[in-house]
Amino acid sequence: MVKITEKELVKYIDQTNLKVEADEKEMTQFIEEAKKYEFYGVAVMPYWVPLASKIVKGSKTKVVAAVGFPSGTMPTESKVEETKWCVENCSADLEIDVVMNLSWLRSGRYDLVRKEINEIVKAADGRIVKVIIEAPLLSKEEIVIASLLAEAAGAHFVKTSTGFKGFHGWRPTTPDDVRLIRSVIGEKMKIKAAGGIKTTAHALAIIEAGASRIGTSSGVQIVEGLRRLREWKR
Amino acid sequence: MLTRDILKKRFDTSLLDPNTSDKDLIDFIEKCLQYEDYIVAIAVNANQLDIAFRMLKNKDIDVVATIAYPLGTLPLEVKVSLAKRFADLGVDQIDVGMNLGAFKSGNKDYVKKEISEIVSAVKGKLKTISIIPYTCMLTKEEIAEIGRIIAECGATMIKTNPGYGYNTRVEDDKILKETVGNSVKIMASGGVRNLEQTLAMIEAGADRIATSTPFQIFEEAEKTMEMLA
Repeated sequence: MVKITEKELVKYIDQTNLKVEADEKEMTQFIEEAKKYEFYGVAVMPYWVPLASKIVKGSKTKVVAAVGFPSGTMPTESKVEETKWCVENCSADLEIDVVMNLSWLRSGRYDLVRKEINEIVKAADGRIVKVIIEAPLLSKEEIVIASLLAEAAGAHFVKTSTGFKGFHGWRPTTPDDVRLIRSVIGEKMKIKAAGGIKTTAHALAIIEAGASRIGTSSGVQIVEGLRRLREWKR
Repeated sequence: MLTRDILKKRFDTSLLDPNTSDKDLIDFIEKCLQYEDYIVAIAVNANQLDIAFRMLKNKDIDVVATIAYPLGTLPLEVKVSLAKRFADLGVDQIDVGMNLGAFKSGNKDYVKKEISEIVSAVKGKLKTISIIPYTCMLTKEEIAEIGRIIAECGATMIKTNPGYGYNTRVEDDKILKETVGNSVKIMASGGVRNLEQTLAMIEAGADRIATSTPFQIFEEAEKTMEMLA
């Protein structure tokens, strides 16, 4: 059983704000807060990467760019351009979270899925690339295939979901999703669990199931929740 | 009295679920073709444009590609490249998510630059350039302001919202209509799922209706029209 403190828990968390309506003031406060908590990463849409880079540079927190969000069905060239733009406009440490083209996956075009991820890995130029497979929309067999494709294409993480609730069939990520992915990928390949993880108990169950990272907009509540549980009296 | 003419060529629809297989899309377009009278345009995932082109060739339905959809917070350079790519591929229409974050931050110049550059990149090559300002997240004043900006920058249509929970209020269409008149078309989009909502949007000034549940609206309309004395 993993034992964990707040100081350790923050290292698992990519604190996330992808709201289309968030203005510069909200994004600045959000990024500052992530830096203060020393979260592993702060995940934003590409347009906000330069702002995030400016704020977190020199701190423990990295910038995480959401590429191909949230549908992942745009042309490969466009995802590559987004990736390169983020690389060029970020002077802090950067990671790329890119959505897999599930339409190709479900049409059996595994060659195209793999080639696209590989091109993004190249465009990321040595930076960590996490491939979002949107597990809530997939069957168990498709989750397995998607995870293996991400690994074969040279990505570093399988990420469970965008957390975008608008898609038909969306549901929160579960420890079972993490265990299934863990059971088929190699030891070096990591898992980022994201999507509907809002409580401390959920986050701990996800970590116990084998996730190395958690994407959430509720990082502060999750960490403060752990503090309350550890300091619980009578 | 409600007649077919009022609903004729009014509807944009789409199959943009990220996990849409080729078979799913073929079945959907086949069903849409039974309602060619009502449907103006169909938006599909970019990787499936070839299916739409093939099935809608010689049909009176436009092919739509989306950009920065439903989240508009992408760098404008990426949007412009994608617009050019889609124009070269031969789409009839693009639906582009505006940079709402920039607009809400008071960076109106960036928003104007973004829309103008997209328009100049594809002008003359597309039938329709539609910009999505997310009216449900805007005040009345902001809706009027962004309506004027979109018209001035040369886009041909305002698509009020992307859906996915970003839903249009009847009032939004009215404000836009009062602001832009006939200079730009208005597409009411987001949360329109039945005949009553459709007609309310049209009364408020919407030229088009976008819906992901078109067949249920058409069936409702046909049944209702049959029963009008």
